[in-house]
Amino acid sequence: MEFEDNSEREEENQDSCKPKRQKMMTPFQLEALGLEKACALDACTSKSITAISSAYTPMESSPTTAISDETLAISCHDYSLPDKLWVEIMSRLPVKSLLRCKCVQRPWRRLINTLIHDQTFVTKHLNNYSTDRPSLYIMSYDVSRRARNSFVTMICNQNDDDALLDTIIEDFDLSSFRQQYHMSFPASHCNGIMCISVRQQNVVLLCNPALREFKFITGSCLGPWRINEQTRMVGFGHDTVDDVYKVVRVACKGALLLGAEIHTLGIDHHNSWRKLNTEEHFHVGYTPSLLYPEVQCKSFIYWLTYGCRNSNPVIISFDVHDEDFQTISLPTLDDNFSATETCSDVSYKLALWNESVALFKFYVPRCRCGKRSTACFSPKPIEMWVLDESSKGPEKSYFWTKHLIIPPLDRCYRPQVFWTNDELILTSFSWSTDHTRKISFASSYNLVTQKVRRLRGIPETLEGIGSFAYVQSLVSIT
Amino acid sequence: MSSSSTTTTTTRLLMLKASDGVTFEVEEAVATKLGAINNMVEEEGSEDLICLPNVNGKFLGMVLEWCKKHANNNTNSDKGNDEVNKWWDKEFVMDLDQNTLYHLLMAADYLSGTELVDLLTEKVASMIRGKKVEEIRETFKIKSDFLPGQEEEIRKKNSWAFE
Repeated sequence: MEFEDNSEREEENQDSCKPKRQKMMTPFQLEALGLEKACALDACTSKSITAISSAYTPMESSPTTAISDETLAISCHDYSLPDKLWVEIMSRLPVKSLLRCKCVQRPWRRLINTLIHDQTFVTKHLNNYSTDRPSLYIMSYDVSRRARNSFVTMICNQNDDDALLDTIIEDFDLSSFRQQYHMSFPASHCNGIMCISVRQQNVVLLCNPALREFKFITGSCLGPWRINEQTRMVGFGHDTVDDVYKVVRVACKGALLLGAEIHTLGIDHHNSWRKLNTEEHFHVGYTPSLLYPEVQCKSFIYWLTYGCRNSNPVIISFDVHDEDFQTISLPTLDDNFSATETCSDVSYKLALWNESVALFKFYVPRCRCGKRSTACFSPKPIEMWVLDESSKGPEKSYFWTKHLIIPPLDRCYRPQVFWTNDELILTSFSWSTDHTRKISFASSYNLVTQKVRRLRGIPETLEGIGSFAYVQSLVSIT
Repeated sequence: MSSSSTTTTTTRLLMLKASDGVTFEVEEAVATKLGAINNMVEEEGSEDLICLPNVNGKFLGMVLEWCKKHANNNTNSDKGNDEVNKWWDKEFVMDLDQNTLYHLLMAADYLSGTELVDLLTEKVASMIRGKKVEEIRETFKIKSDFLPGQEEEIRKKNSWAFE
């Protein structure tokens, strides 16, 4: 494949401009996309995706003859764009479309095959495509705990008054893995790769659903695992300094900390883990995996964990590059309702908002009166706090700012995930008419307009819903 | 930031000459939205006629029209401006035929109009996104050059992408 070289034409065209003192624009060299080398591999091919852009450069050098429409009509058959621009276009396609484009024509196949293995393009694609199209992973499960894994692409309605938000839903089948392993909700997601831990086993499953790539990481450096030993926290993150991906895991034996270990993809030997230093006082509580997956922000992983014997929850953060843990306290939150209402419990949720960590404090019904109806619980406000860093002093310190309060909505909602800075996914649950089961569904709440819209196509599930923001990517794990 | 005493400089005009001899008189603030022209003005000043041998009058005119709109909208530093720009961009690309789209894209690229390149590449991407292979071929007037069986093989290897 060739890239355009305008230098010769440039000289030919000099005559066309004869001002008193003229200056010529130098042709722009192909930006160093790192693709020159990659595409040079294809240099032997006789045909390129596009002919050189000769059709583009106007032929007439005389100022008197403007290009007629006929001339354009002829060049129109060329449909030629330089490869550099095709690369730009392809970086904006979803992975599926990109793979499909391989079938269009041989030059397309060649270009795409080169691009998907080019690290610079993979990063470019991640930046160009993923940020434009908010997408969520939603797992819902019914009473038999049969899970449905879906990728949900949010469609912004033209008409904002709609009570329903359009979605494109694509189911992702993980059942073959689920049959074999007792898998938790995907514990972690980073740049299109999901990390799923297997409870009570030292197995971690990584997958890139867009590329249909799967990889198991087994083994542990914490000694042989027994049945009462459990993975408490799993995180998967991107070390942006070294541009590597890492899996981190904290394991416990009952209430006792066994230790923490880490695996760097592509660097550490297959199934080998490195032990991490943890401080004496490092304490890992209970981390419910379904409703409280971790949050990633700027090369840090954050988990919300509950201490033993109902002590206050704390946040544990992990620096993916420096590989150290830190404990962050929650803001002082008053439980305004526990004294007066018996059927409500305070609950917390971490979310990523505007490239910061946000914490929600909200109330959920927990029926202690036995009526199991919506009557024993009235909707409560939801508080949103934002974590800020203070760089004063040698130690990094954190402080919380109360960002807003969502007024009580018409039913009980649990905050889940932001899909834009203004739109928050909430799951609502209510009791079935026979008061025996809970019914959940997903909605989106707009922080500015305060409007709640149901998500079209997400079925009412009987048990619960877990979700996180998902991006399709070409990042390979193999 | 320019001081208030030098407000006259904001209306300075540049002369641009396209490959077919068509010349454009454009406000500097508009033309310098294009990286290439901005660089040139910074390096060599703005008194001379700027010749652009790789872009003809029709497309240079369109590129400048886009710059003008964006430069104007950006002067009223309002939050609603983003929306106005978005709406205007949408209109701008909506009815472009493919030939114009390609030429405009190359002109924008040549002139380093990064935002316009983003807008136009996004437009081309939208013509591919979610489409079937046959539809893409038709849109871009491409004939398949695969040997028998080759295409099938790709489909098989990436079957989930064709579901």
